[in-house]
Amino acid sequence: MRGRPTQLEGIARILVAGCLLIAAQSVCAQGPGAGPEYPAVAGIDSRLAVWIAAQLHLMFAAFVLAVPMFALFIEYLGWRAEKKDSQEARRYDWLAHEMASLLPVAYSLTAITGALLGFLLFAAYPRFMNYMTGVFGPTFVVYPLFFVAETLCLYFWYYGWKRLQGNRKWIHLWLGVLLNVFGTIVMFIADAWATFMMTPKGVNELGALVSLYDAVWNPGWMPLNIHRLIANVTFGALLCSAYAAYRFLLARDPADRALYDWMGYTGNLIALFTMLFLPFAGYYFGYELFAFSATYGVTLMGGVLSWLFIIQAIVIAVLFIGAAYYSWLGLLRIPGSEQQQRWSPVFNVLLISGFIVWATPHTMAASIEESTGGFHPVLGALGVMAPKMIAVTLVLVVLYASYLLYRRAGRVPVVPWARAGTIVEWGLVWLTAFIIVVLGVYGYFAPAHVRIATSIWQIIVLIAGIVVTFVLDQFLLRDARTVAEVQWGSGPRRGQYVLVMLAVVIVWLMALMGYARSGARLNWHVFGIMEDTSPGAGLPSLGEAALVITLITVIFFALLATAFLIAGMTERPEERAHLLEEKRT
Amino acid sequence: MSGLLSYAAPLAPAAVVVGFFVWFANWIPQIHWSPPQKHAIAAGASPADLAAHGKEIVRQRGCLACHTLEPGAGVKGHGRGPNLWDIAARRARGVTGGPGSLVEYLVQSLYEPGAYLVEGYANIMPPSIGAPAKLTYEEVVAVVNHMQSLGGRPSVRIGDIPRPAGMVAAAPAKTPSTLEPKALLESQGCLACHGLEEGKTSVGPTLAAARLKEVAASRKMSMAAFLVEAIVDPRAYEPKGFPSGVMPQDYGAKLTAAQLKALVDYLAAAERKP
Repeated sequence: MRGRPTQLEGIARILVAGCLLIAAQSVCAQGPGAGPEYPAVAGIDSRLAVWIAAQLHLMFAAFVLAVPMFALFIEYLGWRAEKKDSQEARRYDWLAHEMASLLPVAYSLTAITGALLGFLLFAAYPRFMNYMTGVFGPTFVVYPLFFVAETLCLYFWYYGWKRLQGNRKWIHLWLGVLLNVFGTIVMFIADAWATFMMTPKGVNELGALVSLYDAVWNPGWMPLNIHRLIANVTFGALLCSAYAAYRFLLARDPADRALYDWMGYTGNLIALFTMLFLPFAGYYFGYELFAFSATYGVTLMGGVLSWLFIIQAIVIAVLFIGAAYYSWLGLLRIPGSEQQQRWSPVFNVLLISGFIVWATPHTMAASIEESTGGFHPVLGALGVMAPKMIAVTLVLVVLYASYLLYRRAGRVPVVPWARAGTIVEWGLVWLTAFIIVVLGVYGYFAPAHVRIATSIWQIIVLIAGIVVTFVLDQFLLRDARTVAEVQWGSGPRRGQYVLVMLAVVIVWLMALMGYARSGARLNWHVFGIMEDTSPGAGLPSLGEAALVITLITVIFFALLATAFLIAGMTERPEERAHLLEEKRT
Repeated sequence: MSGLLSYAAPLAPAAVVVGFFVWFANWIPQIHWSPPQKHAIAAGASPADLAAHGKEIVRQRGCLACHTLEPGAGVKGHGRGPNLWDIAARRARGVTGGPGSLVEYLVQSLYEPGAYLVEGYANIMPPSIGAPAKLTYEEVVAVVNHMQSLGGRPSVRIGDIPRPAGMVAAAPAKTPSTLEPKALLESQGCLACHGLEEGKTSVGPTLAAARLKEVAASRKMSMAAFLVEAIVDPRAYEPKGFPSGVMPQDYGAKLTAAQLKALVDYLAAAERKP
């Protein structure tokens, strides 16, 4: 079965080469006399086609970047565990390889969607692409080199898994590191193009290139890099969890279910952990956009796209509460965790309350003409930044507290200072929440620039609180007595349904925010430099956008299901049988 | 069938949740956003006509996303930017700040909004001649008249207030003494945006002779007449696909007649000297 992905990859490469050739011809042939500014491509709606192709490519690119990240991390954990517990080490190694098995086909789909996007852009927007080629020419040369390097690393890493075991494992780990480094560089290069369109730098007022360095390192570049790095891990983790959930639901053997239960749990834990940092990465990106041009802030938060952020708040609420709910269901796998379970409803109410505040709009404008910049007469100040920052930061405190409780399930600390340590630990969690509220209330009454500063301090306090209590918890639970083993595979099936739902929701959210990022430029290809004068320039209504986003989500999952199906064919029965046997005993 | 169901069933909660998102997105107010249309404003338009245009422009270009029009609220309304209601009357009552006259104050606010800030407001307004509003000179005049009409009487005609220095050169370029066309192209910054060869375009269209000839013919003009128009009055014809309004409009004043002729002759020649 190993030949199957290789053939697909071959087809993908041929398609990529073909499309790039067409695209290159298109570049060479253009110029003012080469045809219309916005040629029709095969009678299709170019704008819609580019939207769908770009978003699909982004999603697959995110997947093939994210999965190696935590597959490598899990492989590393297994390598470290080898000396202490070979059974656990094999389990980690199996999980890493199981995740990696999704990659070869997903990689081909990334290349195909990327080629399609390139073709559509060069064919339908020749003038724009000509300009981008003029500015970013050297990066267009470097990009494929890193892409090839990433591809080579992936194949050596994936297909060399068995050969590079034992005392050669370190070579395999380094291959994984290289794969991640090259993949990250590829993403950073593409981010430069995307953010230049939003926050162009390194060009003069007419758009002529002055400094390629500045064009690449434009104000939006690093924030988007950071945001995408974190979000990609969340995204990949949730998709792998959904894969595990499916395998769990279809498994007949209890030991099989146990393995996939554990895989789903690990994926969700990684997703939940990385999600804690996503609001801040998004805030940093938004902050830089606002600093570049305040009109971005107005467009996104108070203008034509302001309702989009109400939808975003609802979608993120589903994501956070869903991930937390799955964790709470996980307590049912641990006998004797009733003490922790009784907190779940309390956490749930707190999370929902927080999200209600977050989703409160600043204004309720029903049209552009109505968006007068004032507060809503009924909602008043509820929709402003200060209460929202308190709400969203406290939501993260609650999620973290939920995680701390989960760690205690079935375990009793044995260190002599356990009682005092526990009091200090929870005291610090409460103190963190208290300081966040005080800073928020102070910021509400302070001028705007002070409010922005206090919101940054709220984030710093939260991160400091998490780091200190996490370290303390590690010491508290050192050599903790296990009173009840986790019974993998015994959790309720509805937990697996939640995992599948979370994967669909994050894909939908990613497409929504892709639309927001692109739509914020309004009728500019490159903001302030190159205007979009095509007949379809403008933004659809959010209702129409939601339908396209749903269509993209459906196409993505149809393609991903194919990848998962093929990955299922490449599994190694003898290795899994061995693990299952260990599970049974 | 049951096999297919076992694959589809786990998707049911996800379908319900996404269905809710789609329903909600269609339930909230639906706003279609279209790029602002340029207002065709006659050169001889009266201040009252201009004020009417200005009112439309202020609503269409997103000014009211920050500014408010709140009767009786004074300068500090509930918006991100100052309240514009009664702005002319406030000024007439002796409210100071920024340039002396109301018109000068309004012009500065539109061209260089960061030059003077009303106390308590941040420097968040972009110049209205740049993205995203991108007002033309005539539209700026219209907005000034509309502002005057808020508590006063519009009085400004096109030509009464200075044109923007252009997004290109804030400081006027020195008029070179040379008649050498290549040196002129360099010194005037033409080559920063235009290529001389076929297919070489960046911000502006190529200046390849064959292409220029084609465009002149399509406009039913002689090559020389077309080139003079394109240099002196670039707004008269702007090819699609290039940023609008970025070419400076003061070459007519900056170049001497002899220099203009030298440039036109050079660009019109099918075979140019290297």
